[in-house]
Amino acid sequence: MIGTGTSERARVQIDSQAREWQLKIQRGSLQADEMEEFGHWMAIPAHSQAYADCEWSTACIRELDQQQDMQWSAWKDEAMERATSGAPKVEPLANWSDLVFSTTPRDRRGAGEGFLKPMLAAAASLAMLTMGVAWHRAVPGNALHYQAGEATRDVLLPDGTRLTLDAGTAVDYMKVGDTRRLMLPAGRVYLAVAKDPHHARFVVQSGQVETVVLGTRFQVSQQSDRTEVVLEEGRVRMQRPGTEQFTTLAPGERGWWANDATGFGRSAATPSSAMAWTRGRLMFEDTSLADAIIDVNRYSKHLKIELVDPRVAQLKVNGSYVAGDPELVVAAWEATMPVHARHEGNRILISHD
Amino acid sequence: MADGHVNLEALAEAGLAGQVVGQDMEAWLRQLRPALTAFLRRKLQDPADLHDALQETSLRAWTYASRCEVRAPVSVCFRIAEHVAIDFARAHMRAPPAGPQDEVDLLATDEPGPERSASATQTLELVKRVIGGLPPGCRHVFLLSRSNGLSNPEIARRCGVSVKLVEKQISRALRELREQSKEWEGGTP
Repeated sequence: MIGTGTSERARVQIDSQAREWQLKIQRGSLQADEMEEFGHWMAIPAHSQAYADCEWSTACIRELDQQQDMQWSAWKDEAMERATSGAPKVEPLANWSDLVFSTTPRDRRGAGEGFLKPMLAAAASLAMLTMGVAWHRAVPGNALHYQAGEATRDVLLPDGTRLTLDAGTAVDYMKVGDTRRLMLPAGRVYLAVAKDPHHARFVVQSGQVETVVLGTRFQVSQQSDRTEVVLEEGRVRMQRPGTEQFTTLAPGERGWWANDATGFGRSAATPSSAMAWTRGRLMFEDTSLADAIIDVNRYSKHLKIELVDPRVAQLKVNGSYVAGDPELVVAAWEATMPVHARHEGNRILISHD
Repeated sequence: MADGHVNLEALAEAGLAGQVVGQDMEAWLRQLRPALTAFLRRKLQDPADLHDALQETSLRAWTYASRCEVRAPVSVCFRIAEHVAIDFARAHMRAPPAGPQDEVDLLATDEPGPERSASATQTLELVKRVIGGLPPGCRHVFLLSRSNGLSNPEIARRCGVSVKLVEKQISRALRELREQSKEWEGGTP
């Protein structure tokens, strides 16, 4: 406890210093000598107490932010209103503008591995939704565009979030206000979402569905009318913007939505196999041959497999294959399943044995 | 100090439940190392203890993180370092501790410190109640700072008040929180 001898003015000053240290530490921007200075500062009991109060209350507030509490949201809205009405003009906040307008992701390597790890693991804090209002207000052209070619591509977003884009997948990312938004028109992306120092929510928008990040590692795929999410670690919520429909996934679960569906589907999944593509492997577990072919073709630009016999479409495929070599995959299938392959130019035609 | 070792073994036996949290704590310890070194240098009576004290701090922090959910990792590390320094000082006096109920012993590894002792839900309820009881202006500023992550000058600019007032209001909110959580926990900080 800060001693009774500490004057009001001194205490205000110490609280402000504590907050400054906290923000610097969260950003991971401290050099070794600054860290040392922080250690000296903390050696004074009134300082370490102020820091503890600061850190503890921030953590509590972050948790309250995550709960869907009407009263709490009302207070936050009130505060936001106060902040915007008191401002002479509305403009992006200084510390947001570099994220929104920069075209080259900020180099975070300087921050060191030891810093990124807790950032990723402690990850995002989100709950209340504004149904993409911020997105519509956004000026086009500020978004960062990332596209993967024939192979998967790793992307580091300006906020430290790591993406793995599946072959042929393109996404747009932008941060507006307190929402980080990733648009996934089609394809598949794996995400390790970084914690944002300002608690900005991270939303993946795909098809008719928004996936709001409550945790860390997951993938979203959008194929024709179907959105599918597999969660590896943490928590995510899938929701239909403008409706009350949502589902919250736990690690090891798969959630999906099809455009003609009346509700979200959920089932158990094996994240390691579902995400094998991020390691250059294709892994199938009782996948229909038709679906497996779609996956294999995604990694092959010139040589495409085609199913010419509907009788074999529902055969079950199992096992792990190297992505990008359809000939090898087909050879393995011929050896283990009642199928026959015929090469015709750039196509491999699959029929019943 | 032996306590730390026992707990590590028990943890290993119990499985990897705390592993992820433990790794987080490791990362924090790596990041904070220069700060903890400077801190311990000031707290230790014998500079030769520095290396051991750092080790001991890491071990206890890791054990602590494996057992409890850590809300305030930075404060926990320093709190633990503080107690490690006290333990080293006591070892140098070659005197047995004052008694098993000695306050510092209780604080050694189990003490929640900045985590406070109440359950997570109770704590959040309390924080919510305290914040709800603040004058609106004070509550706005505090939420803009802690929930929206705005800097003090930013809040001042946007709300059209002075930075000094923003600082004062944040400090006031913190004071309410620290006083009420103390009162509510029966006077044990």
